[in-house]
Amino acid sequence: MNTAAPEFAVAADDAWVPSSCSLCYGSCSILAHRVDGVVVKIEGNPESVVGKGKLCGKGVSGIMTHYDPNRLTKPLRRTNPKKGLGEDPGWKEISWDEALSELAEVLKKVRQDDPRKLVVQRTTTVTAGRTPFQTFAAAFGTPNFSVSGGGQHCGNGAHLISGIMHASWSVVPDFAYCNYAMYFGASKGHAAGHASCSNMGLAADARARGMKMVVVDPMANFAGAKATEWVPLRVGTDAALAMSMANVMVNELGMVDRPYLQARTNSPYLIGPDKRYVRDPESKKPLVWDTAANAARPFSEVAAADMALEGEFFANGVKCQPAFMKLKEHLLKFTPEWGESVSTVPAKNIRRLACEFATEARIGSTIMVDGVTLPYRPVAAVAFRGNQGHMNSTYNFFAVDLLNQLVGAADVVGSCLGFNPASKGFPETGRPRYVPTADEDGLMVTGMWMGYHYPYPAAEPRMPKNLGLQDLFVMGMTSPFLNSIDQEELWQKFEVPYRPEVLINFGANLMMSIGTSEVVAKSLERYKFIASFDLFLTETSQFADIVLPDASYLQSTDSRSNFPFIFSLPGGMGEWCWPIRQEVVPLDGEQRRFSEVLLDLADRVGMRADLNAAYNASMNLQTPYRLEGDNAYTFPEICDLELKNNFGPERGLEWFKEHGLIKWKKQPEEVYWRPFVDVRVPVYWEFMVSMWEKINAICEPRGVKIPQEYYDPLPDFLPCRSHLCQKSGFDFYAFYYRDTIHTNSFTMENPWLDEAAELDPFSYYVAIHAEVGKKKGLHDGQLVWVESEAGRKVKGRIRLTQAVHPEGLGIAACAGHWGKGMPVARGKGVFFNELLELDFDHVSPNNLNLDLCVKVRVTPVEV
Amino acid sequence: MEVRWDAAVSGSRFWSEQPPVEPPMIAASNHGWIDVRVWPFGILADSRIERPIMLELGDGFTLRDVINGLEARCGAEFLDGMLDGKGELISHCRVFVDGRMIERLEQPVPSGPQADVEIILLVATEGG
Repeated sequence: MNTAAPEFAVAADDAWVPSSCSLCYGSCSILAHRVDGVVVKIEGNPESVVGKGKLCGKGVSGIMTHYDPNRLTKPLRRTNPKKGLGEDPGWKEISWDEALSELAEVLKKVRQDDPRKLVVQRTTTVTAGRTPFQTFAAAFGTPNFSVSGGGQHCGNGAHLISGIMHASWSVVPDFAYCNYAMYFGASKGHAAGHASCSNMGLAADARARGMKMVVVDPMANFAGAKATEWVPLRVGTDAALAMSMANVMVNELGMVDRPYLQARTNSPYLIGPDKRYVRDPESKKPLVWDTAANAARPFSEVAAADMALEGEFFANGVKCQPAFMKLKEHLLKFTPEWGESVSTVPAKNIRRLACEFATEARIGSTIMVDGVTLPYRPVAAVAFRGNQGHMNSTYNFFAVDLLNQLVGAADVVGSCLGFNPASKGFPETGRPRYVPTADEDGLMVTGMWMGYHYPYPAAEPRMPKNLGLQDLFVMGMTSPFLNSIDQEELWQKFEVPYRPEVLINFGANLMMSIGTSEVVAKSLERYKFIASFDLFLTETSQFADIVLPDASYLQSTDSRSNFPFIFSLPGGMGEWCWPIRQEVVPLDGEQRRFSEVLLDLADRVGMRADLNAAYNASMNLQTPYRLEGDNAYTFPEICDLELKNNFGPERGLEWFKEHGLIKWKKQPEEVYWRPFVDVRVPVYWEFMVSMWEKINAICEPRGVKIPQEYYDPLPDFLPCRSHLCQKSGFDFYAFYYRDTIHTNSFTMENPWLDEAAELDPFSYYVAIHAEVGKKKGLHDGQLVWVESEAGRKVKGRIRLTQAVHPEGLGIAACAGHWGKGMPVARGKGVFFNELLELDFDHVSPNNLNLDLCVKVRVTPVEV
Repeated sequence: MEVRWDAAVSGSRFWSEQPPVEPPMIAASNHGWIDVRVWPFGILADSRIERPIMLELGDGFTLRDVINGLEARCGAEFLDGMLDGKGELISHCRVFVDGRMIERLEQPVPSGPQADVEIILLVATEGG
């Protein structure tokens, strides 16, 4: 176990060390209290904007993860060549030199043969892992880089819509000014997700100020419990509700922000009968109808106020309509009565919610912030994981964000804000600087703060060369095909010219985080070699050939504990803040920091020059702070260069170790950037038309059907597999939710958090509606089987509650550990993902999102 | 009073102001021909092609000239990972000329009598 460090174990050692948490990807700033070489307490750092001095239960419990006696302290080598569920690896302790020599030899051979045969996999929990592993993969030459269930379950829809509509990774209400927030399957500001601790305070203050919070969710848990109004709906039908609300706003109330739609969206662009833009023959720019000239003209030559939003016109020899007119007509079919039939939300409530949202938007109003007059739209519709976990997640998010777009509530005061997508940088250096730009069609392209941001500008679909097929399905960010049951069949169909052979895993527990364990196990068994960096022996590291004992966050240094630095920064006014992570205590046993091990490995493989180039590109290092040639920099040296690159030569790693962070004031033009930057967002996704044609041209001849309705330019409600299930007795829609007590499967080993979860009425239980349960003869605490249509079963205890939709069945993810390496976690809670099928039929053919809702039946366990 | 959305902040030059510290830039001058050393990294590095790849390009050369030179020297297959179907740089391809990132193919590249071009593909943003 980790023990007091001798060099600190003197009476004078009593220090509060500024650093960053790593119990979830929020990476809040902390102060760790070290006494005589032992960390005795962890608190939020009040100096920092990241967390704003608050720290959640997970953060304060980090001390128990660090000092867990089950932490790995030596590299392990498997002696049993047979891999599989239940196989004992026969671990043998080896030296680091043995471990890295073997791994380097494997990597050298693969790199010589075909570098794409390496898959690099990392957990999302440790955001500081992104850059070192991304650069390692890029330097090695593999495009196969994945983030396990964290990406597949949580990101493909949410980040996609945040990117294309808000130039950001995620969205949040502008808590300081918002008066009416609608949450669709989200719990932002309630101890979960990006900027979690900062948002907790901001959301609480907003509610106290009187912000109305409407939570649309099958379960009233973390956000719903604090909401002004909880709107229970049938699982996976968010798009139906949002589209019905949009219909009321546009066609019944006529309450839309026309100047916004004219100036900052593609609403005026003329659409031809082929669903595409009608373009100027010479400039190729999309045409709009100029009401002043009574003629079709390129959008860039017409004043926004003169652009027609409605009507039918004749241009370029074809009949055409503005995109907004197309949207308006498209919405007509989504009547509130239809919405009720799909979502179960009463039609009268849909009308009321739409009216409240549109009225509270105060269309046409302005407000002054720090002396700058800005549009004021104090409403926001935000969605996240709940909206995400469905076949139709692209349209779920598109539909919800349309509510914002229709009233101009996008990145202005009080509205739905992207997380800090525009920064002018630190005043002395102007770095890091990001701002969205317009492409040739006038549409917004995200500022380059983390490389390419899906999905726009859309990549050209091609015969796939990536194992995840994202270069064919170009709306897909993270792919399930690295682990699906039909991966080989798909690779053969699409003629992928190689197969994965080596996996480097950083802390991800694939066996628990993706889908049913039997299928994931098969995908892991096919690797010839697996090396896994871990804190504990997980269910996934049991498949590894070599396990490398990682340092904890209290033993690590990183110049970017939040990457990109805007990732964990709260939206809205306040300050920019760049905190670092630093060692509070030294390493124990033979633990090593992953960042330094990767540099060592690069040297052994002979790719240091490539790695240096990848760091230069990833960190956007400028002369004189670029890494040169194949110089063997240490990781602290790289951190030092990055910090000086961004904040000046006097503010390197030592300066940051002393101060912990740097911050500077945000300006209104950065936070509310949208009026200042001439970019448009698409309310009509024209690019999807040709995208489908190109994807289908590759898929159809190979017998893979891609339904065109997943690529329509306007959102629709598309049912999940569970909505189509007709099997008798299968009358619950099972879903999982992220328990705010835990971070994925990782923290279940933490004894304090386990104790909190044991005390929580829901964490380790199966929640179903009380009346429905009683009608089925079920009682609180009863042990039941939850069985999927496909016959997959999990066991759990019932919790009867009023706080779940009558058709819903809620389980907190990702519990149910079975491995011996995490004894505190073992046997606790319910392993929901065991119910999930992992194949093409359960994946969105648009964004590759795995369907996370399952129709199930509940039967008592025979005693 | 209803205010047009696009009129609320008209005239602001906030985002057109340049950063206080610009990366050092070698002034373009009349050198005639420039020795360009191209350093492909990661998946673009091919053991069959020695690094750097030497090109001789005219003053005011563009990234497009570099691409054309690479195609002539190494074959079209070499460009497969760098360009999309329209012949433009793919979104996660990063090109630096003398340490300065160049984003557009047609942009003239300022350099001295010798230039170092570094090219690497980053992996695209992933979820979480």
